[in-house]
Amino acid sequence: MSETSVCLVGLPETGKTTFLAAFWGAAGDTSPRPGSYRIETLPDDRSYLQSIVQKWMVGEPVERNATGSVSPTEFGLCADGRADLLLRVPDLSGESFRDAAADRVIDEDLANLVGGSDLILFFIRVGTASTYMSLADLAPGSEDDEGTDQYEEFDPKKLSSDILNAELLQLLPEMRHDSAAPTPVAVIVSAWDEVPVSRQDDPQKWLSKEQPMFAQVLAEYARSAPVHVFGVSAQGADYERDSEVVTRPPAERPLVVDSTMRSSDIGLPFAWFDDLRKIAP
Amino acid sequence: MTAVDTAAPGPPAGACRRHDCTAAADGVCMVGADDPIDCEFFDLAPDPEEVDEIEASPPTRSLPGGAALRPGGLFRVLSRRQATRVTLLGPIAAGKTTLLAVVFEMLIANRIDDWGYVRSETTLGFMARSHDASVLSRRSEPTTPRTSRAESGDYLHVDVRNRRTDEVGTLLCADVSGEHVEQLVMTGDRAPGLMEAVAEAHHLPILIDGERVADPLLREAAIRSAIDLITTLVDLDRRGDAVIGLVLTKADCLLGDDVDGIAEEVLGRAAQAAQVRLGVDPRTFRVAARPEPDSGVEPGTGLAKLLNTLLEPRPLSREPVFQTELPKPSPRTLRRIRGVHR
Repeated sequence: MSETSVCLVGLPETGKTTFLAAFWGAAGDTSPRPGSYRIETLPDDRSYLQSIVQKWMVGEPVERNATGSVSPTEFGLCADGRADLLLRVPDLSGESFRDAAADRVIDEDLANLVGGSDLILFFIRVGTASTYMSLADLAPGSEDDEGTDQYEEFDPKKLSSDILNAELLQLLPEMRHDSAAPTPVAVIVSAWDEVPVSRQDDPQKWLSKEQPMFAQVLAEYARSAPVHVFGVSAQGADYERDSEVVTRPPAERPLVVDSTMRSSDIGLPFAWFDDLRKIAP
Repeated sequence: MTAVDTAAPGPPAGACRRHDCTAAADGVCMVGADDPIDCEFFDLAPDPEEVDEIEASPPTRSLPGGAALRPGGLFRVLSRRQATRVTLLGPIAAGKTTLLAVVFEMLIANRIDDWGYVRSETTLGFMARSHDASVLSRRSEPTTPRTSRAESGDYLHVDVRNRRTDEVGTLLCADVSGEHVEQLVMTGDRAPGLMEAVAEAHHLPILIDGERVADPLLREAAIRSAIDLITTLVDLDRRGDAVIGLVLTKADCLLGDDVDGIAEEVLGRAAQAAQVRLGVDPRTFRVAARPEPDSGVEPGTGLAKLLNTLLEPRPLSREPVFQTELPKPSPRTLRRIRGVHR
């Protein structure tokens, strides 16, 4: 069984924990999708995974990890036609990543985990994605155009997700232990169900339009390491608008999209990485 | 008798989080704080009583980049690839910092046809300069904070990729204080940061404030300040082979029948001064980085053309200005220059 360290990187509330819950829920399903990953060996302590998956199962918001804990959960996966994987997945708090981009300081353990990982899942959430906005870009008379007397000092932590994510991606190679090629990155655009259906076919296009700085830095990153963009709805839908989703089997709930396919297999980012290893010399 | 300690105070005990700052060793803050302990990046050594508590906290790692770079902190950028150094010159409020900030805003928004954004070591430095024009500031009108004397000569860095050739270009732009520029012109006071930025520059665009040009009462003074700056460059004899450009900023102020043709005239007069005094034929630009909302002018107008010029391939080595392909100075210009140096 090949060991694969995976890091879930992203700003606060970008869907990292929900993805982990959905993956754990789907991989542990009694009737998994054909060809998808199944849990082969369980982690020693599964209390955290169990607690988040219970929330996900009943359609409640999954509590995010704001503790700063970096202890990885380790579990084995297998799938027909694919190499077995031993995943080491720390559920890291988004605040740590935001502060790394804004303050240029990162916890040593966290840097080691990110730098030593084989695959990075980089999370960006549709509903909270923002870009730099100039006052000149505001439509006259809009609510934001009115301004206030409450001047806000410059605070890098409050910069748009586009800028902070671009900085974070640019800093990833700085966390590597060695001078080896940068880590493969699967970008997970989460809450993909919030994108209008007419625009759901290509997450890369969405990224270029909605997160232009990050998309450009990603294109540069792709010159030195494999990169793929997935649109993922770990819940499958907004439970308040579409409560029927909760009645589906866990493996049938998620929505995973890239420019070539649409699936409910939330393990596809791992399958993409497995394919990379097959073609690697 | 009591012994008096006459030793000079050493650097404060502590460490700077910026990897290229030497404040802990020599007390010199690269961000420009008079005392390193006032710098946001400097961590004072803890009180011995607090050491046990600190030791229990997890170790951290500093990550590079972020803020604007002091001239002594350019190694990381310069070691990667050859950089084009640009120093915008102009009086207070001519729009030097705004121009840099808006170029960066356009690059990250992917709004420049020929150039794509690659990376920056100074993104936070750019964003700090754009802050007062962003919705995050909660201001009602966009502004740009004046570059302080302490920040003058700091560098902003950006790598860009040419979409046609796929080549990467590196820009290092010195953000100089207008106060320092005005002092140089009026009193000859040579601020070290400004002098270094001028001496190292490959491009020296001279900014002419279009808002002042649009005002008939201030127009001649605006032109004169550009001409005086050109004359000062001759006097300095420190511009190497830098390419001189003339940039009329806030060009949106020069629209309309009553000011039609004034921009051409102003740029023409300044170009003539450059030809006579420097023996160069400067390229001219009209830009509107942050035009008035009701002007009908698109933000960033003219900046793409300026960027194209700044990033044109240039020779690897520096050569004396009069040995390049630039026009030879006239005998009169030579006499004038020699006269200055006598």
